[in-house]
This record gives sequence, C-alpha cells and structure tokens, in this order.
Amino acid sequence: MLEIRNLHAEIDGKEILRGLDLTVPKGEIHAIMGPNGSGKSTLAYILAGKDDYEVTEGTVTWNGENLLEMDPDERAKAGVFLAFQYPMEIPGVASMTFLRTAINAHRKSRGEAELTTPEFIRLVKDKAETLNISMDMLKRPVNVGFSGGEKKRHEILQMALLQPSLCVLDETDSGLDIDAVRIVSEGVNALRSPERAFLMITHYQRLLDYIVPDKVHVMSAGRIVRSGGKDLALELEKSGYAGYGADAA
Amino acid sequence: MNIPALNVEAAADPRSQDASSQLVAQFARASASLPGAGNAQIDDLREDAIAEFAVAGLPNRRVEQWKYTDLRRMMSEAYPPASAKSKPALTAAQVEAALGEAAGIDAVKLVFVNGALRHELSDVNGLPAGVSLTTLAEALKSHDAWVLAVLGRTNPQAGETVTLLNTAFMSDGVVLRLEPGAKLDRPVHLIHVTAGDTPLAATLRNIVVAGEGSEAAFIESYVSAGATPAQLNVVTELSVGPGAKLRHYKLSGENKRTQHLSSAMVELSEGADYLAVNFADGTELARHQTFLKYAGKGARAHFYGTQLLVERQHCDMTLIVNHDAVGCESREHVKAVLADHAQGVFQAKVIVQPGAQQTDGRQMAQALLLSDNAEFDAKPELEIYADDVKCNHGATSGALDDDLMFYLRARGIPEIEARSLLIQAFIGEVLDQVEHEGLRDALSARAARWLA
Repeated sequence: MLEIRNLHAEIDGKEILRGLDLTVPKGEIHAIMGPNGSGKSTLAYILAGKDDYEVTEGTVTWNGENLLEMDPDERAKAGVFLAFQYPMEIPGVASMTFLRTAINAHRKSRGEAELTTPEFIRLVKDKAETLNISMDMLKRPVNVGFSGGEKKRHEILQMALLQPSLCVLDETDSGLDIDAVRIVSEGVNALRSPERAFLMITHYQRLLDYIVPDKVHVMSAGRIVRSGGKDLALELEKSGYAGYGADAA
Repeated sequence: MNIPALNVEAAADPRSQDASSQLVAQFARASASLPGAGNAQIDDLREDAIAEFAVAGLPNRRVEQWKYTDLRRMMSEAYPPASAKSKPALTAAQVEAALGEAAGIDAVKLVFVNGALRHELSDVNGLPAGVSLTTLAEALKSHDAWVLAVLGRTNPQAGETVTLLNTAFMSDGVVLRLEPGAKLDRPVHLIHVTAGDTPLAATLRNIVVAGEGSEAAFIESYVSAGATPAQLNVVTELSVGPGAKLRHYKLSGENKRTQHLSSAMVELSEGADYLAVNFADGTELARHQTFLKYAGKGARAHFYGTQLLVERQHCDMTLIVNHDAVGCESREHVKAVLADHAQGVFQAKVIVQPGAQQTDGRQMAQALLLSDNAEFDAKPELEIYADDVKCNHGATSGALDDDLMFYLRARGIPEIEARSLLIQAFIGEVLDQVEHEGLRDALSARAARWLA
C-alpha cells in the first residue's frame, strides 16, 4: 500500500505540495487529475526521488517502507517505477545496454545471477513485440530519434521488464495519437495484478477509457481536493477544472 | 652554430640548474654515443638542433602556443638519457601486463624498452611484399641513404622546441616504408615500455612513408612496467602519399611519474586519407602535438582525441593544421573527462592558405568535469586567407547531466554505474572512430577499467 500523509514539498523555496494525503492499496489503479500547475508531476518526481524537490513535512511509505529516506535507485529496487512524461534521450548509450544494466541491477539486489545474453534478448523480444517495438529501435541510443509515441512505448517496455510493484505514470497519454494510446494502455492493463498498485497522472479523461481506474482524485494547489469513482473523470471532462484552482484549464 | 658556453661550476651539480641547461649538458656528454655519431650529416643535424634549443630553452607560458602548458615550470628537471648499455630484464609477460587490454592485438610488433628496440620481445614476421621495416638506430648506424634523405623533411616546424630536442637526442624508433600500392593486412604496433629503478629519458623518432595508394595502420602504445619516473620525447613523421590511406592510433598510458612530449609531423599528398585517434589516460604531464600539412588537393585528415585524467594529471593536445591545397577536409574532435585537479588542454589552429579554396574544416572540444577543481582549456583558432571555405569550431564543458543521472537511477541503476555508463557514452563518440576492431575493444575496455 502507498500511503502519503500531509506531504509538503517545495522547489527553490516555492511550495508546490501543501499537505497532500493519498492512499493507494495494492491491486488498485488510482488516477490523479487536475489543472496544470496543481503539483501532479511534482508528486510523481517526489515518489521517484528527484532531489530538485525538498520535502518539508509529511511521510511517504510503500509497503511500510519510508521512501523519502531512499536514493532513487533504492526506490526502484523497492518496486517504484516512474514512467516519465518526457523520457530522457541518452546519446551514446544503446537501449539494449541500458535495459540490460537496469535489469541486472535489479537482479543483483535480489541476489540473482545476471541474465545471459540469449536469456536477456529473448526476454526483451517477447515484451517488445507486444508493444510494437522493433529490435532495431532498441539498438539505437536510448530515446534518441524516437518519436513521442516510441518514447512512451519504451517507458512501458521498461516497466514490463522491471516488473515494479508501484507504477507511477506521468501524463503517459500526452502527445499520443489514438492508436498509440491503445497500445500503451494494453501494455499497462497487461501488468494489472493484485500485487501491483498504479498511480496514473493525467490531464485528460481519454486515457481512462482504456485503463479504467478504481478511484479518481482531483488535485488542486498541491492537495487532493476531491476523490471519487471512475465517474468523477467523466464529470470533470464535462465541467472542466473550473473551480479547482487558479489555472482553470 | 656554436653551442653557448655553459657555467661549468653549475654543471657539476645538475640539480642546481634548470632543465634546459641540463639538457644541453647531457647532449655534450651523450652525443658521441648516439647512433650515427661520426657521420657528419647526422652530427651536424644533432648539433644544430641542440644549439638552436640552447638559445631559447624550454618554452614557458609567455610563449603563446605554450600558454596552458608551462613546460619550463612543469619540467623542472631533465632526467638522464637511458643508457643503451643497461638493459632492464623484462619478459614478454611483463610487457603484456604493462600493455593491458592492448596486448592481444594481432600486429607486427616492435617492442622498445627505455628507448631501445628489444629484438627478443618483438615479432616482425609476416610483412607483405612492398613493405620494409627497420629501426632508426639501425638506419643511423648504417648511414642509410634513404632514411637520411627523408629524416626531418616531413612538414618540418622551424625552431619548434620539442622537435629540436628530439633531433638532438633521437636514439631509436620505427622506420616503416610502404611502396606504392602496398597494403598491410595487420597493423604495425610500436610498443614502448619504461622500466628500471632510476629516472630516465627516452627519445624516439619514427618515420612512416606511405607510397601512392598504399594502406597501413600504425599503432603507438606507451606504457610503464613499474613506477620509474620517465621523460619521453617522440617524433613521428608521417608522409601520406597520393591516395594512400593511413590509420594512426596512439595510446599514452604510462605511470603518473612520466612526462611525455610527442609530435606527429604529417604531410598529405593529393587524395590522401589520414585518421588519427589519440587515447591518453597516463602520465603526469603530456603534450601531444600534431602538425598537419595538406600539400595535395582533395586530402582528408581526421583527428580524434580522448583524455581521461585524475589527480593532477595534465594533458595537452595541440594541433596546427595547415591547409595549403584545394578541396581538403579536416576534423579535430577532442573529448576530455577530468576529475580531481586534472587539467586538459586542446588547442587547434587551422590555417587556410590563399588558394586553399573549398576547404572544409571543423573542430570541436568537449569536456566532462567531474570535479569543481578540474580545468579544461580549449583554444580554437582559425586563420583564413581564402574566401570559399567552410570552417567552424565549438567547445563545451560541463558536469554530468543531473536529469540523465536521475533517469538512470530511477531505473535502479546505482550512482557509480550510472556515471560510468554516461561517461562511456561521452567518450564513445571518439572510440567509435577507431577502425581496428581489436584496438577499439581494447581501448573501450581500458576506459571501462579507468571508470571502475
């Protein structure tokens, strides 16, 4: 279970999160919606451990472990995965090298042997096919020259390979056409499991047609201001974010 | 020319003088035993060189080209020339251990220890037709007419200090000659090892003449067996004939008590194709100079360098590129990874002579600074006297990208591994230029070991 209590966080002295409370049990998918600037992406980065943000108050635990005391790589090994809104391009590092280094880092922390080359390639090939990712694409440097859709599918591929238990998806649908949204959603749905929790950050309701959430939360000015079932997303789609903060997008 | 009179009292105690005077005094003691001594042409060459050196001495930072590498300050003492008589015992296994990853390369091997060829450690079998290989010591001792005719004639730099010293003291080196159309299927690998118990100086002069349409790869590896302080001065003359293709790779991986001055003098004929890749992770002080001259149209030369430096290592890669022919291409790209108090230097001066139209010249210097105390000095210079040319330069330096580090770590990759991955990616662009697969793998493995 993910438990966030009274979370306050700031960047460069500017408070972004102002007492956020949120609980996501295992096996559930929760969506966080809200206007631009409400702090959604900040929450995602803080869960993954980006040190640009300073947590000034509150607690974040995952399965009882205090995430805030861990380095980003330790959080990843504890099961946290952030699918980035803007995946980074890494010139000079082939995707296959990157994936292999990441998988083996996880295996090492579990006391398992590193994958052999054939084992690794078989594993990647299987998962990549379902996400419509070619092996040629994975020979290229990480995300370099990838289209917006390819970058997002690459994020989901990493998620599928690393098998995290807490998946945080930050605006995974942004910039995707409808076919890409479908492929990405199928990838996410394939990972749904009673042992896994999802936190989906999205500005639009569209993605939730494909990945149906158990709960929808509305975030405004750094706090959760309203929670409800999946129908809440449809209501927001009609009425917009008017009344949920300064930026009524 | 006359050799200026020395202060005899000071000469009695070498430590009381600066390195310039020590070098002049050492020449006076050593000249009679240098190879070719007694031959008037060789004696004159050496004596003129030391006399010219004696006037100016080692350059200090007030000399523009030495602004970032104050040789007079950094080379405070001149070690005595390695004696040809005292040969440190060194086994093939020790040479391989000193070479590390580069030991496995299949090549025609010439192993030099402390500036002198060691036949028993070398393997020069299997040279194809049209390729001749000898050593400078042999050539000078036998007054080889061909060598004496080409020696010092490849893109000479009048009054240049380091090459003057080399001419005075040169004791051995590789002389490689390719007849027109000759093709080497394996690289020629010069391996220089310093060894022994006392500080020493070694001076090598290599000559590579690639005839029309010939093809060769020449690798120079400089390493140490042990912690002996050493000073190396290496000049490599490379004459690349019409349409010839020469690959020139260099590893400077000596111990951190070594000072290494090197000069590549390159002259390109019409349609010549020259590629140089320099890899430097050794020495406390290094100055690797390249003097390139385009003497025929449509030639191309690409120079790539990588510097991996820690502690107080100082490595300077300096190029003078002289475009004196139509339609030639030059590339200079250096990547430096600098930790602790290390200092990397890259200077490239590209001169486009009147008439050298359609010159295409590009240079780039990039440094990754792993410490606030590391320093990278990049000085690109363009001197263009033709009006139809395409030349540009750029330089960047900075720390590792925090956002990239976070992305890697968010995937569970520990900090040290993430850093290593990003640094390998940074220098990969240079290492990828090495066309010889075995050497490319060896240098990549060496870089990975450096990062570990």
